[in-house]
Parts: sequence; structure tokens; C-alpha cells
Amino acid sequence: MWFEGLLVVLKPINLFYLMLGNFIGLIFGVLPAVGPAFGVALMLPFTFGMEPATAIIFLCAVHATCAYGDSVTSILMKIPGSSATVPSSWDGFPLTQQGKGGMALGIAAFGSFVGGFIGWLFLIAIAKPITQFAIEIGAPEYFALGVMALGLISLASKGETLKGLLWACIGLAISFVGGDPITGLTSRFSFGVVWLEGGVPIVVCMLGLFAVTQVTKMMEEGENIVQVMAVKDSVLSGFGAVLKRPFTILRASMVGLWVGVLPALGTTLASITGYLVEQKYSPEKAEFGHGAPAGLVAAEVSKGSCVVGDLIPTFTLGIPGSITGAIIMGALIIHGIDPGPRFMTSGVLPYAVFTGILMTQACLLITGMSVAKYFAKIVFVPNAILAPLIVSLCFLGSFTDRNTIFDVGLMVSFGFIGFLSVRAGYPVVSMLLGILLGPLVEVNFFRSLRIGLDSYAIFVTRPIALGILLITVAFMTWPFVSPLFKRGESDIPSAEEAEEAESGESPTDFVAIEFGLLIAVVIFFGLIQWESWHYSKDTGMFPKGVSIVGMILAIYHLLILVPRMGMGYRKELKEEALKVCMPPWVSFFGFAAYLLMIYLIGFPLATAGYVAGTGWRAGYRRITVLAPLSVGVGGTIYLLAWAMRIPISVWGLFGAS
Amino acid sequence: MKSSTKKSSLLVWHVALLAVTVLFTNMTCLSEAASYPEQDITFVVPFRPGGGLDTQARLLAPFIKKYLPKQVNVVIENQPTAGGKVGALKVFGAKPDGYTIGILAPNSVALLNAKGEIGKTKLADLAYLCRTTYAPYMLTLSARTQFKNISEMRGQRVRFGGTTSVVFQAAMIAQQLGAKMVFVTYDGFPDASMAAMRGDVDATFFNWDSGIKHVEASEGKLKTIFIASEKRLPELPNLPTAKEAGLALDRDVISVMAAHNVVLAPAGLSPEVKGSLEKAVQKAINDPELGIQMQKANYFVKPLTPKETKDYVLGIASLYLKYKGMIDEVK
Repeated sequence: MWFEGLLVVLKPINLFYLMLGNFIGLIFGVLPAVGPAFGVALMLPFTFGMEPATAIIFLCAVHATCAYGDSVTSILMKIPGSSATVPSSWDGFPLTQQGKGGMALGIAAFGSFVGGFIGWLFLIAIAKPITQFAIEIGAPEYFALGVMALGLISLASKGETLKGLLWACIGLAISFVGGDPITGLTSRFSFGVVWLEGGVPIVVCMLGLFAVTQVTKMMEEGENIVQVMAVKDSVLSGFGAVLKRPFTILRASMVGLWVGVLPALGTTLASITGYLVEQKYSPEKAEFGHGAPAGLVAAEVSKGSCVVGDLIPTFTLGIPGSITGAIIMGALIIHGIDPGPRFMTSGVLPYAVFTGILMTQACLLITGMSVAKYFAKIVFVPNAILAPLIVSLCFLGSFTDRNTIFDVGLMVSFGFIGFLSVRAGYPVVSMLLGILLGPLVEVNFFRSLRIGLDSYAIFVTRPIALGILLITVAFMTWPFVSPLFKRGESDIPSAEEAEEAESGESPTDFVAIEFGLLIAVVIFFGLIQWESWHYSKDTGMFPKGVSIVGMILAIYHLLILVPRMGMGYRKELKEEALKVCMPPWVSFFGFAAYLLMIYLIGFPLATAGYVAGTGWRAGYRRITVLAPLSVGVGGTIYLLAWAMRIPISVWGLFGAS
Repeated sequence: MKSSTKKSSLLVWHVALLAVTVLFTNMTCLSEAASYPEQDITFVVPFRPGGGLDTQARLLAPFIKKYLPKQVNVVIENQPTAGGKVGALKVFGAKPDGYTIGILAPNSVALLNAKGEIGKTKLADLAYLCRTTYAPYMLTLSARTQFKNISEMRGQRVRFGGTTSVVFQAAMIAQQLGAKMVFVTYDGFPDASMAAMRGDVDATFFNWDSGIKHVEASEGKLKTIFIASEKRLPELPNLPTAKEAGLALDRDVISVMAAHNVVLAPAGLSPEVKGSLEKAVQKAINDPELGIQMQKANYFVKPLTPKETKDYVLGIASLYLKYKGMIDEVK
């Protein structure tokens, strides 16, 4: 059967679509915000006329390379292509800065492959028993898992747990925007804005918090990403870096697989959890955040195995593990393949599909390897022209999620919040975790109560839920309890480490920024609290609680800040050594102007103007490059929008007839 | 001096770009006076790419193109958020030139109407083009629940699992049964059916076309009880109707007990444009080739004429208004 399946896959037409899928996936992947789900959904109609096996191979190829392409931008520029690749930047980007971009991309390609391969082995070997267990994971268990994942914040914020918690509360509060958790029929915190009734899209938050923040930093620094003159490492060295770490692979693939098998968790949680678990147990943990290969390996392997792990419940139960899984399942059904228990007994087709999935992983490895060299050159492009280019792609990317300019403005706002957070030394990733986990915790809490007919006993009478909750409690209290048992090395990170907030970002510069930010946060929570009282008891319960906790934390941080107010600066500014290319306020002024111009004169023209203007302002004065570049980028935006059927405004107000 | 020449050359570039783009876009919108259609038609889908409504629209679009007087593209535009509200408002508020049509679920349109969230639009004025699919809801019971049939559910608290789009329908069923509903909301039918397999909920209520696969895949952990239609379905001859199972439902109540979609255009179309659209969409939905493609995708095309579609949607809307009190209650 396997051999016959392989023969099907090796048909020339299938190999052709495998390559084509890889190519298309790579293009979607390197575009910010255009993640695997979007890529697969967009390609779906083109498969209607294909043979089932061809269609699935094509779509899986798009999916796999798209996920890899997302990592490429994350590693080389610290611009995550999707939220799942945020952790790839934590060690991948420092590696790039050290001139090891080739190796980092090699790790990404090979790590994804290894993770995918392990996931694939499980898919064909023990899919059935795993799924049987996964079925038993219901609302109370998901609630417990969500609480446990919130415990990750203490790891993610590297010692500054209280700051991490505060920012997670903000993330949670943002996640409450949109439909209520009980029936979804009333909308919360929309303040009359129809776009908020559906909630704040995660992709828009992610682009703002990470991509816009990073672009602002790039423009401030000027020059280019890598200061070394030549990059000599090879992509192949990344393979060795992966193979040398079998325990990392083991830990990360198990995390990824489990997150993948459980529906509704998704690849972002897989890669973040994989990274943080590795950070706790790896012998290299001291280097994490400064370019530790183990960190990148863990993030990539987890992501890779989760992508395939997602397919396990899709094939065995007909229950997709993620949005992308749902789209692939839709494709399977359209092509007459019925996912579910009887799938494996339906002739050669399942074997062809499984072999095809393995082939896409192998093909991804080859593609990834061969193009990585060329991608890696991007780090030598001057930031003055690279940054505006990324900004225009982010603007387009944030637009595509819901086809509205409102989301572009939202992204810029999140960029501003992210920028201030990094400046003030607060961990942005905690906010992302809050946004991701809010619905998981809240919705499943109310589901559990209803399943248990309004009795809280359901959280302790279900053994799995109880077990997870107990582990969480132990895990959270361990740093405080463990010094009682052992002497010497403490688990609590030192003050220096704590200073080094979120992935080696520059630590706090101004007390004034932190002060202003905290005041804004207090007002924000006040607003949430006030608004919560307008909702029914259940609907308002979590927002009330979170805003009270958040406000207490914010006021606490304000109080410990006050004694330092007189100093003006918390620590010495290193800025005299650093030439500022483009101050952040200019960058944000540029974003606002760009947004306004899109409204007035449409996307392509505004983009051309923005690229030219920003490049010029950032000190790039070669007209012969700048002029064709800006026209080219404007034209490319137009063509991309046309090819992907994105209804951008081409003419702005002039086009509105 | 030098920098000023650079600046002026930049200006020249921009003017050139302007000229090129003007030429480019003018080609598509020269004049609207000539006969319809002259440009691409936007087909609004109020959900993300990849969902059921989106798949239906993507299958349907090339067939509409095929039957239009001129071969313009029918381009899908996804307008997700707020449970389809944004997409619906986009269609209702579009310029009535025949270049914007949409695919919407009558139930969600009726709900928006009952909640007074569609502004000045009057449902009776919209141009209804066709109904695409129709799949009645069916009730399934978990094998792990204490209830073996619907008569045991009378007077009891029954946990229903389903999505936001069936809350209202489940409440009506519970009311007819004389049971007290505890509704547990899930993101999709797969999640809800898994909850029923675990025994976390007693019953699920969802459209049979997607539901039947979960029942078959559950290996006996889910049992079908009845289908909320007037007659048995030819596809499921063994599944009794609600009436046969001992639950008499009014005719108008039955009309909302289904997942169904309609294609429509904004109010105020000129008769010529409306005629062309109706003709093209009707021919498209009745094309046997589309029927085969839809069935492969597990959708069952049950077309209605424009007139029938209009009456159908208005009937559902008036029922929602009648039960407005119940909607507010389940909220």
C-alpha cells in the first residue's frame, strides 16, 4: 500500500504541483500577515479541477512552505510573518546580527522538517490512541490548560513576573473585545464601532506589536541589519546545529505534537511553549535571547510538529485542529475524501495523501535550503529603504485579514503600544499570550459551568482538569518554595537578567515614558471596569476581575516608580554613542501620514510616496534607486492586491464615485 | 542646487506614476451608460475564506460569470467580523448598480433585523436573486446522556451544544419540548459534536449535511433523533421528522430550522440590471454541473425563484420579530 501510494505521488503532474505549491507558499510566507491559513484558502478554488491526491499535495505544499517563509522574515529581520514565528525571532534574529543568518535559516528549514517528520511518524503510527485521549479533553480541561499556559508568563517575562502579569492583563482585556463568552450574541467593549464587535484580530495585534515596533527600531538605527561585512556561514551548518541537539528535538516535538493534537490551541502556542520549555531545561539556557541555536531549534521543531499534529484529529476524527486544518479538511471533503475513522480503510488514497505530506516536508527542505542563501542577503539592504518596504507590506497585510482600513489604523496603534512597552521595559510577548489565552480561559470557564449545571465542582471532579490545575499551582509556587529545599543556585533570575526584558531588547531608557504609559494603563483599566458594569453578571465577570488585578499591578508599578522620578533617567543613556537615523516620533508621524494618504489618494500612490519620503528622510539620497524603487513598490502593492483579490482602495477619495 | 534637481526629478517620477495608474484604472470604468455588465462584479461573503459560505460562493461565482450577458469576473470579497453583520451591511449599503451582490444566511439577516441593527434598510426592498442551499437541522443525542428519547427530556434541564447561529432555534425546540435549555456555545459543529461524544452536553442541534458525518464518525456515540423538516429527506430516508418523533412544530417554525443561504443585491436596482442578474444567477444555480460540484463539497442545492426567495426570507424575518422576546431572553 505504501509503495502504491508513493507511485501516485511520484507522477509528474503531482511533482509539478508540489514544486508550484512550494513556490507559491514561499511568496505568501514572506509577506507579513499573509499566513498559511490565508494562503491555503486562497489556493483552494484552483484545486477544484484537480485529482484528489494532487490537490491535497498542492495545498499541503503551500501550507508547509508558507509556514517556513514566515520564519524567514522573523529570523532575518525580526518581522514575524505570523504569530507562530514570534519565538523564532528571539534567537534567530540575534544569530542573524552575528552574521549567522545562513545557519539560522538552515536551522529553520531543517528544524521544521524534523518536527514535521516526527509529527508524520505519529500520524501514521499511533494517531488512533492519541485521538481517543484527545476526545476526552473538554471544556474544564481546556480551562485548566489555559490557566497553565498563563503560568508561562512568569517564564516569558524573565523574572519580571509582575510586569509580565500586568501586560498579560492588558492582553486579556483586549481579548474580551467582541462577542460575549456565553452565547456570542452581545458584543462587549465595541463602543459602537462595528469592527470591534467581531473582536480584535490576532494577526493585526501581532503585526503591530512586533513588526511595527521592530521597523521603528530599524529606522532609528539606520545602516543595515548586519554590521559585519561578509557572512561566511553556510545553510548546511544549520543541519548540524539541529542534529547535535536530540533532547531539544525530543522536548520540542512532544510539545508541538500535543498542542497540535488538541483542537483549538494552534501553532502559536506550540512554538511559544516549545521555546519556553526549552529555555527552562536546556543546558544553553544562559545564551537564550542572545542567539542560542537551541532556542531556534526548539521553536522551529515545535512549530513543525504542530503543523502535522494538527492533521491527526483532522484525519482520524474529521475534527480539524486549527483554522488551517479546517480549510484542508474542507479541501478533502470537496475532493470526495471523507476524513474520519473510515478514512484509513479507503484504498490507496490515504497512503498517497500521507506519502504526499512527507514529500511536501522533504520538498520544503530542498526549497528552503536552496533559496535561503539569497534570502540571507536581505540583511545588507540599507534599513532606510528596507524598513519602509516592510511597512507597506505590513499595511497591506493588516488590511487583508478583514479588508478594512480600520485594521491598518489598529495595527499602527498596537505598534505604538508595543514601541512604548519595549522602551519602558515591559514584555510585549506577555500581552500576546494574554490575547491568545483570554478566550480559551474565559469561554471554557463558562462552558464548564453550563456543562456542570452551574456547579463549580466540575473543575475538581474531572481528574484531568484537576491534575492540570494542581501541576499549575505547583509550577507557579515552585520558585518560592524551592529555596527551602535546596541551597545555592536559585531559580529566580538575577537582577541583570531581569533588566534584559523581552528577547534582549534595549532596557528601560526613560522613567517618563514608563510613567506616562502606566497612567494610560490605569485609565484603560478604569474604562474597562466602568464599562463592565453595563453587562450581565457572567459577561462582565472576567473583565471586572482582570481590570481590578491590572489596575492594582499598574498602581504598584507607579508607586515603585515615584522615588525614581526626580532622576529623570533610570539609567545612563547610551545614545551619544549611537547615531539616531530617524527618531521614533518621526516614524510614527510617517505611519499616520501614510494612513491618511491611503484614505485620500489610495494605496498604490500613498505607498510610493511613503517609500520615497521615508527613504529620503532616513538619509538615503540615491534618486536613481529611490525613485524606481518607490514606483516599483507602489506598483507591486497594486499588483499583489489585484492578484490576491484584495479590495484595496486604488484611488482613495478620487476613486469614490 | 544639486538637491533641487533631485527633488524635481522625484516629482517627474511621481507624475509619471500617476499617469500610468490613471490609464490603468480608467480602462475598467470608462462609462456606465453602456449595457450591463461593464466591470467586475463584487460578490460579498460575510465570513473568512475557507468557511462553508465562502466555498459555496467560490463554486457559484464562475457559473454566474458564465451566464451573464458579458463575461465579467465575479470576484469574491470576504468581509468577516461580527457574525456576518459587516458583510450584510456592506451589501445593503452598496451602490445599486448591480456590481455588488452578496451571499447571506436568512437566519442571521433576520436576527440583525429583529435586533434593529440594519439601519434604514427594509428587507422587503432588497433584490433577492436565489436561494442556494437548504439543509434542515437535526437533533442528535449523546450516547452518554440519561435521555434516551425526546419524551424523557420534558421538564428536565437539557444541555444543548451548538454554535451561536442555532441558539435561537434550540431555544424554540426546548420550549416546544417543555424542557429547560442550558445552551453551551461552541465555535463550530465539530467541537459541539465532540462535546456530545464526551457526554459534556446531552444534545446537539445542527444542519444535517455537516452533522451526519460526525454521527457516522462517532461510532455509535451520537444518535440521530429527528430532522426538523416537514418531510423525510431523500438523502436520509430512515431519519424520522420531528412530527413522527412526537414533536409537532408549526410550519413557520420549521422554516427557520435549517442552514440555508440566499444570494441578494441592494435595493434600488434598475429593472434592466435586476433582470440580467436574476437571469444569470437563476441559470447558474440551476446548472446541473454546479449541483454536482456542490454535492461533492457536501452542499445540497435547493434553488428557489427570486419571488420565492423573497417570500421565504421575509417569512423568516417576521418569525424572528414574533419571537423577539425569546431572542432577548437567550442573550
